[in-house]
Amino acid sequence: MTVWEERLEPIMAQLDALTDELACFDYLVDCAGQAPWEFDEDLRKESNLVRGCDSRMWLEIGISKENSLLIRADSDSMLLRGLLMLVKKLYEGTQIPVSSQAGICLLDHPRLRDCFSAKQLKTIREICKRLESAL
Amino acid sequence: MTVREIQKLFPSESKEIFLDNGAATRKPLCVMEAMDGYYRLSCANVGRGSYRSAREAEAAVAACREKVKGFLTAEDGEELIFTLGATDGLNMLARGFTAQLRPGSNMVTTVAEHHSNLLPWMQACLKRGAQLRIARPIVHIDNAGNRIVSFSAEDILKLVDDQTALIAITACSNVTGTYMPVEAITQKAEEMGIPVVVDGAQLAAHKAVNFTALGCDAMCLSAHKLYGPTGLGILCAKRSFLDRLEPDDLGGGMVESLDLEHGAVTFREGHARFEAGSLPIAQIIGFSAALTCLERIGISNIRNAEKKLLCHLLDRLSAIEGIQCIYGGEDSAPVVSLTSDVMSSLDLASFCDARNIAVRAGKHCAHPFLDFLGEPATLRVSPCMYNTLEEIDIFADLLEHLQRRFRK
Repeated sequence: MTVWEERLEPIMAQLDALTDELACFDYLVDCAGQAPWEFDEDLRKESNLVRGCDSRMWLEIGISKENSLLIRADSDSMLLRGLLMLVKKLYEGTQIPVSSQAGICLLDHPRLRDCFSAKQLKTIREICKRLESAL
Repeated sequence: MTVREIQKLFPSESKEIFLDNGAATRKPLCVMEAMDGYYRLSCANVGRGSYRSAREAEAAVAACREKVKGFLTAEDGEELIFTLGATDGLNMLARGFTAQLRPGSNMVTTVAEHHSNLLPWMQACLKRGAQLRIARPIVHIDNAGNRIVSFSAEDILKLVDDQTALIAITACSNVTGTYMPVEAITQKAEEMGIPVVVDGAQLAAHKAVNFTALGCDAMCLSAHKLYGPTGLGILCAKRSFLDRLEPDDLGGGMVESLDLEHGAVTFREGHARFEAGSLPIAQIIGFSAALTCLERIGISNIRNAEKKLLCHLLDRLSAIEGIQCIYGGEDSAPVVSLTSDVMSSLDLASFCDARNIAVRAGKHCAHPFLDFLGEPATLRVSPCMYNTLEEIDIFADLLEHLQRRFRK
């Protein structure tokens, strides 16, 4: 099992267990509430704004001293914030090149496809691709 | 006619509570039947053949043209052009008018325009080095803390001078339902010899339109916001104004004579000059049926029903802590934008969707207006005559529940 499969599996299992759209919203709201977000106000700048989505979403990708991936992301949408948290769970702290396929696989989960517009999911896919080229 | 009787005319198989009528209304059964009948019985093009089905289709299109003229109280000397929608009509006007703009001239519009009545003119001004002047609204706060947005004719006319080539305004905002003081603007503009183009897309479903009395030079509508099919629009214009415009879409049906040797073309007069190619005949026939249906219901019944819905919606929303409405006052069209102090409008729309309530979140193709209001997005609720007070309650109850849940 690859590191991505290991990280993806529990998230996919949680999504599989959700019975409907409302249960998925509740799950995402819970994910959004998982502190800390560590997203300073000064990171909400124009250059960090992710284009292409009706909701505002900010993203800053960094590399730690230990050469691992740091993801700072936020959105004014609680549901998208929850989704960003899942992406963070999947990728943050990794020291090996990111595979955007894992994120794309996550976003293709039918429960998430029911909850978000194609435009919103496309924006998150783009984020996964940006992470792929960060390390 | 009661709301229940009106609802019977719209037998939708969807269980959704549809509160996004500002985007497109549902269609009455008669519209679907009329379009189906055309495809089954007399499916032919118009203006091309002289056989029976072509004659029947041609008569139906001509009848619709007269019906729309009646609906808009347009008179002789006023032309009715079928377009693909209000956006198409406004683009057609802007392209046709571009040559009349020049460096140093200006155009006046408002910050509340839908992009379809802003971008074509912005482009025209850029091309010709003309200035686009933008009028801004007055915002009052009502007793419940909601924002009431209105425009004064004076503020708009302040921007007009002897270099103004055209005024382009919406008759009704698609974000707040605010009715614009169109008559007061056209009166002054006529004195100054300035043409006025009106985006009537949000107007005609809620209020009787008298094109002649409005005094504008051209007005564009969309059939899909008027209980008709998608893919059809109406451009009503004074013939004297149309004569000043160059047709931009070229093709069949518009040519009187064509001299290939000398590269000379003479276009037909009136609406034909602007209707290149085949018309959307099924949509025209469907729209004719929609207008018959509206006549049957009666515009005063529509206004009364929608006023009740708007008042009830505002009452309910005003009582929810953390919700602020942005609207055009109690006499506006039934369109209300709202914001929440705890949730983004897109999240609210997602929760509504999960409960089978259709509302729209975003910038509503009116980015400058949302920027003026200082909102990244709003949730827009736009009920219409077939919605019920109970449906408004279901929506408001959900909003109340969400606010309580997330304000903790």
